[in-house]
Amino acid sequence: MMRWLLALAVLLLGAGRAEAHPHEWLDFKIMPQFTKDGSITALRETWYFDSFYTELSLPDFDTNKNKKLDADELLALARDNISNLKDFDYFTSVTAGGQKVTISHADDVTSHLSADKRIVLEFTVHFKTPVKTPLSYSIYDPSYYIEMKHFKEGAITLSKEDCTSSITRSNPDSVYIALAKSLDKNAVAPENLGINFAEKAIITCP
Amino acid sequence: MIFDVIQDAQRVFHDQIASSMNIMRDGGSWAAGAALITASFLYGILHAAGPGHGKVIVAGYMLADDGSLRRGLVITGLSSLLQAVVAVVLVLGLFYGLGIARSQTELMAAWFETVSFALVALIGSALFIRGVLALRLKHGHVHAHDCGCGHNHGPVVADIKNMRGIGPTVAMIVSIGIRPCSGALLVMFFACIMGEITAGIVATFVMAIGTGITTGAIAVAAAHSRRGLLKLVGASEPRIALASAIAKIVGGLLICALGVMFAAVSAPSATQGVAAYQHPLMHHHKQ
Repeated sequence: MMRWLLALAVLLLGAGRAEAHPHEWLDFKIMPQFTKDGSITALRETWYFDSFYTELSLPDFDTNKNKKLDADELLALARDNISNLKDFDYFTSVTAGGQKVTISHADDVTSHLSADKRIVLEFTVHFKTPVKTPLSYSIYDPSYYIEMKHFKEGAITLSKEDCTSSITRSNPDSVYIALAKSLDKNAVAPENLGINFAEKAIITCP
Repeated sequence: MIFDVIQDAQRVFHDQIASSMNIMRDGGSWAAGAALITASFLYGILHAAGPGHGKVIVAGYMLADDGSLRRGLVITGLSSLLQAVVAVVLVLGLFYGLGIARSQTELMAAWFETVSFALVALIGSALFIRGVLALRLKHGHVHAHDCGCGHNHGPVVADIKNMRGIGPTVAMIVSIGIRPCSGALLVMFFACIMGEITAGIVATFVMAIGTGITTGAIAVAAAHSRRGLLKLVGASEPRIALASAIAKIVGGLLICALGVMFAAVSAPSATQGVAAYQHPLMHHHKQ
C-alpha cells in the first residue's frame, strides 16, 4: 500500500499543472539572401500562424467588424508583431564560425491569409554584416509558448544552386519536456526554455 | 518519439476544433459539426490522461478507502460533468456578463483550481481522521476481547463502513469538478469569439464524456488493485480492517499534503495573473 501511494504521489508531483506549454504552433519557411560571392546577408522568413492565433487576433484587429482580417488589418497586426519582436531578434538566432551573428533589423513586412485561413507573416531579417557559410540558425520562441518548426517539406529555398541545407530536429532532454509540461498558461518560462525544443538548420555553400 | 506524437496530437486537435468551428460560422455543415464532436470527444479522452482531472485523487481515494466500483464511477462521471458545467458557466458569464476576455477567464479558473486543491486537502484530512477513529475502534475491541467480553468481529467492520455516507462522495465530486478542464475553457472561449455558443456547449459536454471515460477507467483499475492488495494482506476481517485503517491514515496524510502543496503553488500564479510576462506576439490580445 505504501509503495502504491508513493508511486501515486510521484505521479501527481510529476504530472504538473493544468496547461502545459506550448499553446500555439507556427510553421515557417526560410529563404536566405545571398551576395554574389555566396555570403548570406539576410533571411527572408515566412511564418504560418495556427488557426487559433488567427481567430484570437480577430477581436482586436478586425477594425471594420466584418468578421475577417482584411489586407490593411493584417498589415497592422504584422507591423505590431515585428516591432514587438525587435527586442527578441525576431526569434531568430544565427551563428557562423562559432560566433553569434548580430541581427540589425527587419523590413519588407507583408501579411496575408493562407488558403486554409491562417495568418501568414513575411519579413526579412538582416545581419549587421554579410556572413560566410556554413551558417546555422534556429528560430524559436524562448518561452516556448509557441512551438515553431520548419515546414515538413520545402522549408528552405536556396537561390544559389550549389548550396545545400539540412535541418536537425530537436531532441529535448526529458527534464525539459517535464518542465514544459509543468508550466501552465500564465507561467513565465525559465530563461530560454524554447532552445531545447528548437530545430537547427545549417546552410553550406562551396 | 513519443513526445512528438503527443505534441502533434495536441496540435491536430486544436486545429481541428478551430477549423470546424470556422466552417460552422461560415454557413455551417453537418460534416463540420460531426468533426467538432469527434475531435472534442477524442480530445477529452486524451486530455484527461494529462494532469488536472482528479485521476490521482480518485485513484488514491479508491485505494485508501473502501471505495466501491459504483461509487468511483459516480465520482468520476459526475465530476467530469461538473467540470463542463463550470467551464460553460464561467466562460459565458465572464464573456457576456462582464465582457471579459480570455486571460481573465483563465485567471478565474486559476482561483477555482486553488479552491479545488484546498478541498482535496480537506478530503485527505477527513480520510486521515476516519483512519485514526477506525484504529481506535479496533484497539478498543481487541482490548475488550482480551477481557473475555465475548464480542464477535462483525461490528468492527460494520462500524467503519457505516461511517461512509454521501458526504465524502459529494465532497470528492465538488473538489474535482469545480476546477474547469482547460480544454473545455479553450473550446468555450473560442466558441464565444466565433459566436458559436451552441457548438461550444455541445463540444464541452462531449469532451466531458471523453474525460469521464478516462478517469472512470482509472477508478476501476484502482478499485481492482485495492481488492488484490487486500487479498494479499490476508482475508481475515480484523486484518482487513487494520490494513484499511492504516491505508486511510497514510493515504489521507498524503492526499492532504498534496492538496495543501498544490493549493499553495497554484495560489500565487492566480494572483499574479498574466501581467507577469507579455509575449511579443500576444501584446495586442485583450488582457
